[in-house]
Order: sequence, then C-alpha cells, then structure tokens
Amino acid sequence: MTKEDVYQIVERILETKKGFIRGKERFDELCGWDSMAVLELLSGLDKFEVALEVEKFESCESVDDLISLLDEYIVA
Amino acid sequence: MMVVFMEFQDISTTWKESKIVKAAIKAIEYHLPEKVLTNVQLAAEFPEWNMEEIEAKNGIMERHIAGDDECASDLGVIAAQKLFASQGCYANEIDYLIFCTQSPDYFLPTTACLIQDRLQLPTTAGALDINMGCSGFIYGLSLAKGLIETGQSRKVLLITAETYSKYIQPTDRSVRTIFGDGAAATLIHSVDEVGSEGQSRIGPFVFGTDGKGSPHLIVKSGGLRNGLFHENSEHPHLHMKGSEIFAFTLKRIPLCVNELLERVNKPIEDVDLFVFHQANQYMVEHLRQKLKIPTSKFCVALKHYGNTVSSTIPIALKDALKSERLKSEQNIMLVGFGVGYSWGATFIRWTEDTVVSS
Repeated sequence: MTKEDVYQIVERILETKKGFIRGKERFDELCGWDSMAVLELLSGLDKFEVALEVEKFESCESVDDLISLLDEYIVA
Repeated sequence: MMVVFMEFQDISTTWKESKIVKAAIKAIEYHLPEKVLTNVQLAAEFPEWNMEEIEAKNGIMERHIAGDDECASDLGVIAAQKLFASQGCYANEIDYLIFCTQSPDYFLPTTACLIQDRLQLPTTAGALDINMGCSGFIYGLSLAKGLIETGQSRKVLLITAETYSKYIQPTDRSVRTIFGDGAAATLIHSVDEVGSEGQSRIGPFVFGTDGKGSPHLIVKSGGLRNGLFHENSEHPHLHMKGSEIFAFTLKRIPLCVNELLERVNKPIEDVDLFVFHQANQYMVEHLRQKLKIPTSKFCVALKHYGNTVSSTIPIALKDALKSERLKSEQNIMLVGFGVGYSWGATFIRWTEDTVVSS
C-alpha cells in the first residue's frame, strides 16, 4: 500500500476528486468526515489487509498523522 | 451359595447398527412487536439526520419497537406459541427451555421460569436464561446440541428475544437507527441416526471471546457494578462504538469462518448458504466481499427488522425457508458475533422433516 492509496481512500470516502488530499488536511476540518467515514476508512484499509487500530487512529489529527500510524504498511 | 442371573444384551448387534442420537433443528417461528419505527418517522423527528444516506449504508428501512409494557419475554412467548400452533411440536413435549436475552424481566427470578409457566411447559422441564447478544443463537444451539446428544433432553425450545430499544437514548443516531426488537423460537429435537456415520445436523462449533471489547457495546446502568441505584453512570443508555465493533469483526470473523471450514476439511465453495448475524448491511457486505462469498449464497434480512441481536439469524433462516431459498440437505454456515466481544459459528444441515409453515 502506498501513501497515494491512503489519500485515495480518504478522497473516495469524502467523494472528492483525485488529488484533493495531500496530507496536511485535518480530519476535524474535513466536510463529511464523521463516524461512518471512519467505518469506510477501516473498510478501505482492510482491502489492503491493513488493520487500523481505532484507539490509535483517534489520536491522529491529520491525514499525514494517519500515514505515520500506518508506516509499517506503507511502501514507497 | 447365591446364584446371580445377569441379562446380557444381544451381542450380535453390531456397533454399526446401534442408534446414535443427534440434534437437529425442527422448526423456527418469530414474532415482532406491532409498533414500527420507520426511517420516514425518524427523519421527521430528526431532520438533521440524513436518513436516506443512513439507510443506504445500514440497509434498514424500518424496525419494530416493543410497547412500553412489552418485555422480551412477551415477544418470546408469542414466538413459541406460533411454533406450537404450526405443529412443530406441543408445549407438553418440551423438556428444556433456553431463553437467550439481555433484556430480562427481572434480575431474578430467571425469566425462563416465568416463560415456563406462561407456556405451560411441563414442570419436569429444565429452564434457564443465557445472557448473550449477537452470538446468542449460536451459543444456544451449542447448548441444545449438548443436552440432546448427551441424552439429557429430547426437545429443546430455544427462545431468543430482545428489546434493546428500551436501553436506547432516543437522540443517539448510531444505535436508534440500527436496533429493532423481536423474538424467535426454535425447536431443536433429537433424531435417531442409524450407524456411526450419522452426519451431524448441527455442528461442529467454533467459539471465541474477548472481554477487552466489552466497553464498546455496553449498558452500564442497572447492574451491580456501579451500585444498583447509581444515578450518574457513564453510559446509562446503550453505548456502542461502531468503529471498534467493525474493527473487531474484520479481525476475528474471517478467522472464525476459516477455522470452522478447517474443522470440517471443506473449502468455502462447499457451503450452500451463509447466514451471518445481521449487524448492519455495510458490515456484513464487507465481510461477504472479504470472504469472496457470492451474493446468491449470502442471506441478508435487515430491511424490515433492523438488528434484532440474537434473533437475526433465526429470523433470516425462517425467511429463507419461507422463500424456499433454504433447501433440504443444504450445508448452511451460521456466524454470530458482537457484544462481549463474543463470537461463534456452526454448520447446520437442513433436512426434510423440518417443518415449513407460514
């Protein structure tokens, strides 16, 4: 899984165009990011066989924080 | 001198010809409360809830809600009466009642005892409650199988019944839109199978428990942990953290399914029908895709019931029977998972002597 894959998962959840997410975006400022979005994030990552720990994700403020959390699964 | 005469069994009877008692599901009925809470009504009550979007995700259009004076036991009694009326069996034939609920009438006595009296089951029957939720039907089946195949019982009435609506804060969208009330009554009976090759009609089972997940679907009020009359409980109403529940199912349920398949040494393609606990459409659809189960083999029965907790599986089975989707000699996998965390899975084999009624 690449960093771009994670960006695209978030873009699909928010139904925005490709390239909208670049990493600095804060989850609490993203329009449409709610509890259902978190389920969709879990689902999107699961398709890459990545298990997101919800409690750790809750300390992520931005998309880049999420990327850092998933560091062991991210390939260049 | 004392002469003792002993009677010997005819030893010409071979082991192969000896009867083996197996447990099998004979009949299922269910009952839903009369009052229906639709998405249209919820949208009118909470205009800020996007009910169209919620329905598109959770697959639920309406759910039945118990009346103020209607308990889970009431729903269970009616479901059982439907079972008796459909001639699956008679009340006086039941020798064991298992009542699965997390909405008992009282802390004590056991609600199953109250149900025994209302159904006029024999006073020689055993009766107990099991406090299980989403995995409750699986656990109830396992207990029934154990009782029957060890010769302790011949006809077990398993009632699953729930009124989670009474625990729900009306303004909590995450649970109010999902859970519905309802009950199912399942008759599990003994079948004499000739020969040691008698195929199990229920089983094998896979179980799992992880109490670390307990805070994520909980009602903290009313029990004794915080004091019986404690008023400031952190979660007085039903609290559910959907993200944690979903993460748990993604982690555990595929493993559970594969463990069961390994137990019977069969590939997933050999399963004729899958009936998962109907938690919500988004979750079960993701599991279906993850396990590569074709939609033709995957039961979904949520739209008009919501999540009825331990009754989702028997309700889905009954609907599959009525629509003739469930056929004789099919191998059906049942998977229950949720509150606890608790999970379980089993196979059932449907047979021709299962009662099909309207």
